[in-house]
Amino acid sequence: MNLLEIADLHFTWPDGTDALRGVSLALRKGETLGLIGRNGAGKSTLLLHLNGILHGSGSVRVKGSSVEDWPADELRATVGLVFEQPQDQLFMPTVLEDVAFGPLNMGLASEAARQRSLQVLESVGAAGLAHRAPHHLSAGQMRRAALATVLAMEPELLVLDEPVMALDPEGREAVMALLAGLPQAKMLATHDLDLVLGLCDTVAILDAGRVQARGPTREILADEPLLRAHGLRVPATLQ
Amino acid sequence: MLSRDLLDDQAHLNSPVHLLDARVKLVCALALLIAVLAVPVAQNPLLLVHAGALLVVAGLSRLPAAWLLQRMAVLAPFLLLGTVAVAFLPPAGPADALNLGPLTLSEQAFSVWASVGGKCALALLIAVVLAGTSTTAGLLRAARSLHVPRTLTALTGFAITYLAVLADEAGRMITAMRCRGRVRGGMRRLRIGASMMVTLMARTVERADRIALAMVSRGYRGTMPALDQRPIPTPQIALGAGIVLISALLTVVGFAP
Repeated sequence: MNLLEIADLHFTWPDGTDALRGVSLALRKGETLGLIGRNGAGKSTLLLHLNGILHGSGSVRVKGSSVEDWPADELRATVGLVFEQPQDQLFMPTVLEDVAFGPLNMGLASEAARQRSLQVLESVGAAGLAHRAPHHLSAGQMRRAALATVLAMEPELLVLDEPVMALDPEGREAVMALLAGLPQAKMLATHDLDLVLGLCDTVAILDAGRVQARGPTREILADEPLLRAHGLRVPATLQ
Repeated sequence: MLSRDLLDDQAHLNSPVHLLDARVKLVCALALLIAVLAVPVAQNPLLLVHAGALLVVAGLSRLPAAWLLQRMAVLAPFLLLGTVAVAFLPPAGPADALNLGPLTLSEQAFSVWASVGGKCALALLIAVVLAGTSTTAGLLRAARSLHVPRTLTALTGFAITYLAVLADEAGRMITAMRCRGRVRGGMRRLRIGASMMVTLMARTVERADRIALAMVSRGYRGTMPALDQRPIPTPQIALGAGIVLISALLTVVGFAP
């Protein structure tokens, strides 16, 4: 059984923009899928459907059940969403309180939430940031902290929107290594095709609200005419 | 990282006051504030006792004198204006006349002004020492554990966090504007300033939307959850209780006939 199945998903924003026009995708347990496409292709909109924040017409099923049938808390603990801007994800006074926010909402007792949060911070190499104010962190530290806020909910599917955006090469490598070591199934929406090449088993190209191509990463990313047709370019490492 | 470190710039110091639990400091600060504000005009000299005690605390806190004075300076225009007003207020009669060298003041007006000005200065000193010796996060947690409504502490936390983010964003917009040449003409500058404010507000609303989405994504259901706090060490409770007791005593002394 697939962990995630999306079938013929349509979504129109209130201003009339058709963001999704029949998206169909599936993701197996443990698989890492790269979702690539030009700006405005509908990547971020699609991600917001996966944990029930947006509801379009069509079907989104997680572990065989429609997201509409899932209790909201359980769905959000199963599908962890890491936003594009870590500053939007980190809103509590300290990193520890931010990481504990999700576990506490899931009903964990305070001490258990504290212990889990500290463990997760340790696992992402951010143990020393627990008592720091999020807005005092560097971009790389913010990325780690934002990832920890979601990992603390122990999701089975990790959905990441532009996970290495605005990071220096060292920070980018560190986040890539961290993501590569996570056992969860992952869906990465990004423009960074080298990141996709390094991390993803399969790739889907989203354009004009539809999945235009889906296949093994190297095969798709080496297809120059296909990439060019959808506003993308072959990554430097494959040229 | 933000280019402006607006808060917590003295929180790294390692003084006895810094080491106190924020809950103890907050309760003591409230007790001292009440004691200061409760001093009747007729008992103005009692304010000197409070001032002495607070200066000792400020000394113990190891906060740089320049840092303290810089923050206290916000009161200077208000004190100056009040002092000038009192200097020009004529006495109500010979019994009300107070001779200070070449000046003859109204004794009643002078006493009231000394009381108001002294209380404002001491209240500000309490707030500055409290803020300088605690982290913002610690104070918010302390307020929560003292049963200040969570919505209020959460909103304050958001305001503090995102004020710094907005200040940085405004700074970037101003830099971008300057990079495209000098804006000439007062009206044009005003118009550009206003449109920058509108842009900043629009971005703030968009950011608020994204934060709300991030909160909902992690199970937010209308109540801000909070980790339980560690118990306050007994010696700190005893110290806090002592300070509250002395403050209460000074308040009672102030009202004694």
